[in-house]
Amino acid sequence: MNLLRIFIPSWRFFDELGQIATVSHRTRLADQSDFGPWQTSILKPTQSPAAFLFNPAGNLYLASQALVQQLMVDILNLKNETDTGSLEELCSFQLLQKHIELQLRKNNSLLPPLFFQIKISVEDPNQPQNNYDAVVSKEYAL
Amino acid sequence: MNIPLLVLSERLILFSVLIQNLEMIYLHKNFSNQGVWSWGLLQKEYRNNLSKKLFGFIFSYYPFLTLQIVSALSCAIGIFIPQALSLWCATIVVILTCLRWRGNFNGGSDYMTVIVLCSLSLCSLSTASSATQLGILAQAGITYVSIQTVFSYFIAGWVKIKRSSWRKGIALTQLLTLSNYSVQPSIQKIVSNHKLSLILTWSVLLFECLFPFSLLHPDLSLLFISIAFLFHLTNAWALGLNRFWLSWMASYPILYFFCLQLSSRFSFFK
Repeated sequence: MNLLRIFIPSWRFFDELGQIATVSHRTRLADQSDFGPWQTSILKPTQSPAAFLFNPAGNLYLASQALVQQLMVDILNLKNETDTGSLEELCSFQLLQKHIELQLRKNNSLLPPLFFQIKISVEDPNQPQNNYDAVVSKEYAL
Repeated sequence: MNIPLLVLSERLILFSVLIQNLEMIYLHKNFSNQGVWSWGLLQKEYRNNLSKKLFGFIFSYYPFLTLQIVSALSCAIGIFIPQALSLWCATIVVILTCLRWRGNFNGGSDYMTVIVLCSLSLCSLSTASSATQLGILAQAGITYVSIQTVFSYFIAGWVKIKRSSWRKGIALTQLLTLSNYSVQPSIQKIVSNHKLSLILTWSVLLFECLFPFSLLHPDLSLLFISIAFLFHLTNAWALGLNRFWLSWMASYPILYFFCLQLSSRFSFFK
């Protein structure tokens, strides 16, 4: 059914702005025990003046955000036990993991062996007391 | 199909698909075997072996890139020489692209692109040169696009107007300052002024909720279409949502054509 999403239009643009899911990651070197600070994983691209017509970076960014939203739905299904399996088996989580892996490799060409961890936080700008971490993953070797 | 408004719509949607194809070609590394959206990862969504093999043949890197290039060339030709082949090619490639990206690449604009393409492809089966000669399939396609275009504004407005955060003008400020959208700093500055944000919010809400009135008269239709065009252009500039204005723009000639049909059939619309 997931694959048929495109044939079912939903015109409910921006109706709910309550909660925003953000992805961050942190790393540690193989010979260290402590992780560094959490860093934003999906960075907003800078908009070029031509973006109103041709905007590949912006659209890729939106696709990545849609991936995070899809992951949140998949996680909810896992929690409701409508789906079986673990977080790591989810296609959306594997895509996100790959996204972070590639970003780490891109930013550090001479990368020493390291481990990384992924966090998905849900933030509510209206009620910050309701902010919570939906996922803090285990460590993955790069 | 020789109806000028429908031909205009065809040219616009092919231009929109051409831009989408060029963006996809530009982003090709992202769906290569080493990219985030590699077929190696995505194929896990397909549990059926037959569909995995079938789509694997189309969705792996080189065949998918080739599809995008062929579609771009076909659209470029179709813009200057409108013909059914370009429309059908674009329809198939857009649907396959949506399936490959799990319907996630650009949500709403993908819906509108598919709806307009499918409807125009149906119209392309007709050789009609006037509204009265249209076959039932072509008429169904035109009606469907028009209704979905009206719904796209009305539903978006209705779900917002029901929320107090939108009615109070807070939601727009939050959307443009706190959300994950890549927003122009000048726009953020404007909406941080509450009065301006409230005026902008209610302008959008009223425009969206009143959009069904565009079906009542061709002049009203033109008025709403002009506002909608400016609305999408502003969104494209402020939020980088380029695909929205391109695909919605293609639906306007069809909507106007439908409105002309209504107006000629029912005297109370005159």
